[in-house]
Amino acid sequence: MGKRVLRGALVAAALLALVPGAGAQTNDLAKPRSSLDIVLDSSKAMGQTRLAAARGAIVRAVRALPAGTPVGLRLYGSKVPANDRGSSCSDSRTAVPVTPANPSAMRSALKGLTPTGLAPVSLALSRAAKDLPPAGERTIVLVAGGADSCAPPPPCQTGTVGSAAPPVRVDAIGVEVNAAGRRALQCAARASGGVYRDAATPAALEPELEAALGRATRDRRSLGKPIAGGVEEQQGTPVRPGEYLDSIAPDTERWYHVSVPPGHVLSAAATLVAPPTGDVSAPGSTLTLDAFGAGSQAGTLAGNDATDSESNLFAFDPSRTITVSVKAQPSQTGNSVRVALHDSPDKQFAQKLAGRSLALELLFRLPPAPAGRALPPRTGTAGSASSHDVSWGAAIAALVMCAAIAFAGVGFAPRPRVRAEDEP
Amino acid sequence: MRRLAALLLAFVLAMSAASPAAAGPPVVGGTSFNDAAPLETGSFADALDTGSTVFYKVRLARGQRLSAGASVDASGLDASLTGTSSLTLRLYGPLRGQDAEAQTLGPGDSATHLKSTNAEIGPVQDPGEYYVSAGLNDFLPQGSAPAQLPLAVTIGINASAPPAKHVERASSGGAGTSWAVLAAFSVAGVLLGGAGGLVLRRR
Repeated sequence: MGKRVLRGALVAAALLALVPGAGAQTNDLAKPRSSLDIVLDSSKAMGQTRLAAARGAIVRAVRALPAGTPVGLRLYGSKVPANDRGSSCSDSRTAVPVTPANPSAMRSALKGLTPTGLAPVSLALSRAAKDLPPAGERTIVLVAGGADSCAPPPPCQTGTVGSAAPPVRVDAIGVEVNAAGRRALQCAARASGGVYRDAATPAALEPELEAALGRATRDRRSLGKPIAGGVEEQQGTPVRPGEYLDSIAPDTERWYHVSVPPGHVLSAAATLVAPPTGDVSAPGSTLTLDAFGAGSQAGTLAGNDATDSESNLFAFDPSRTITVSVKAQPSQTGNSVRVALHDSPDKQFAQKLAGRSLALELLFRLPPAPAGRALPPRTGTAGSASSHDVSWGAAIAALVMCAAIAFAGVGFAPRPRVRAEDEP
Repeated sequence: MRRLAALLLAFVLAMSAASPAAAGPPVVGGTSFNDAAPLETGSFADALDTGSTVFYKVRLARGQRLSAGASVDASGLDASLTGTSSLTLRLYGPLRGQDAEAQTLGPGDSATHLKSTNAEIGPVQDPGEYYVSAGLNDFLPQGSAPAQLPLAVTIGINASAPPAKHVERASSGGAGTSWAVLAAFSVAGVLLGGAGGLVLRRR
């Protein structure tokens, strides 16, 4: 944890040193946004076996979350016995408030939990929506052994979750539920824009729960080692083969230096990733990736190993990623890589991003140079064709030429002079 | 035999694409290439937000083919909303350039509100990580919160004969044959021309 914080601070410091204003942009990219609340069925209907499986699965799934993810735990049916129906139907409590993921706190809260009362699913969901911070992507992950045993109204008709602002999504997992329970939980999930999944056995709960939490925190996953490319060639950031995450603002460049050992070639790819929502289309904009050989300089076309570019970014393609890639030629040592993002003439990127940068995924590889191929691969032109290749056209031309020469040589050769003594 | 295997694979993909979405072990696709979820052969269950794209990666050896299928279950939504929905499946090479794309257009299966599509690439020349993305357009009314829909992803890796054989044939055997053909054509030309010349002389 300490190392991670230190690394983050170093990256932020490097960004601030190299790119004025870039620190805030990268912080934006890494800024936590999603939060979630796990709602666990502790009612009598859940039963000891399923509840025990859920307790273990929750602790392990929370441990697997990205550090710092806000996550809480709410229980229902855990305190008041079912015979006190009025009180049992109000039995929903916060076991762990929504705070940065803490598996130990989860374990303590779940320790000694036994299935006790009725199942006020609807009540628990509406209260869980209030547990979550009032901003960002908010998700409730419901782990249940059956339908609401207190309502009407059923969870999918309450509207308390679906009408929350900002919206709260319910992802529901039914653990060995019957058909009626599945229908009710599916309804609760769909009404909020979430999904329902079956855990056919208690053991199947853990992967389902991990996936549900993973989807709810997709925006927190690492997109590669953070890196800050230099703003000009002399400030190129040294990189090793691997996947990295940088950011790039309109009308700026990013420079990297890759040391290419003998016998290897440089492959590089740069992917511009649009934000998950919002229009960033920019007709007339361009993303360019160049790899320059050792000793060459930017803008010196003769020294330019390889280049690739894409235009009209995000304009006519629904994809939210734009990739450019190069494979440097084996005969040249590509060790400077430049990524350039040029805005459209009317500066649409600048307007739509409002000072923010776009995420830039980078991939650097150093595969071995193809054996016996010191020269660039063939391009199909006559000058670059392999000396071993003979086309059918050449064969036919040889046939016609040889035939013509032989015909001329034999047919038009001077006839041997007849000697006088041979005359009759 | 290879054709039969390809037909069988296509049949399996078609059947899995037509089956209800979200069958198989759960998986969480990435938001882009760098966090793409690794997959192997099989069927997997994920969920996809409207207006979003998820990424997976599959390791291929030289000569292998990759078949991918995606199916979204929109039965949780009102059928009137899904008319303009479109599911796009893309396959990318190791350097993340797009190699194939398939897209559903128009309404899906009216009985189950399913949208299914599949795509295939290969045999591949470069071994490494290949990428699969599945994206759903933002077809809900403006201002609506995104809805998450069950997504089934099917991956098939067909170990066809490595293309290295073809390369070898083209680079070694192929070159020798071409020179032999050139020589043969030259000799044939001499013989034909010579014979023609002899006929001319006799006239």
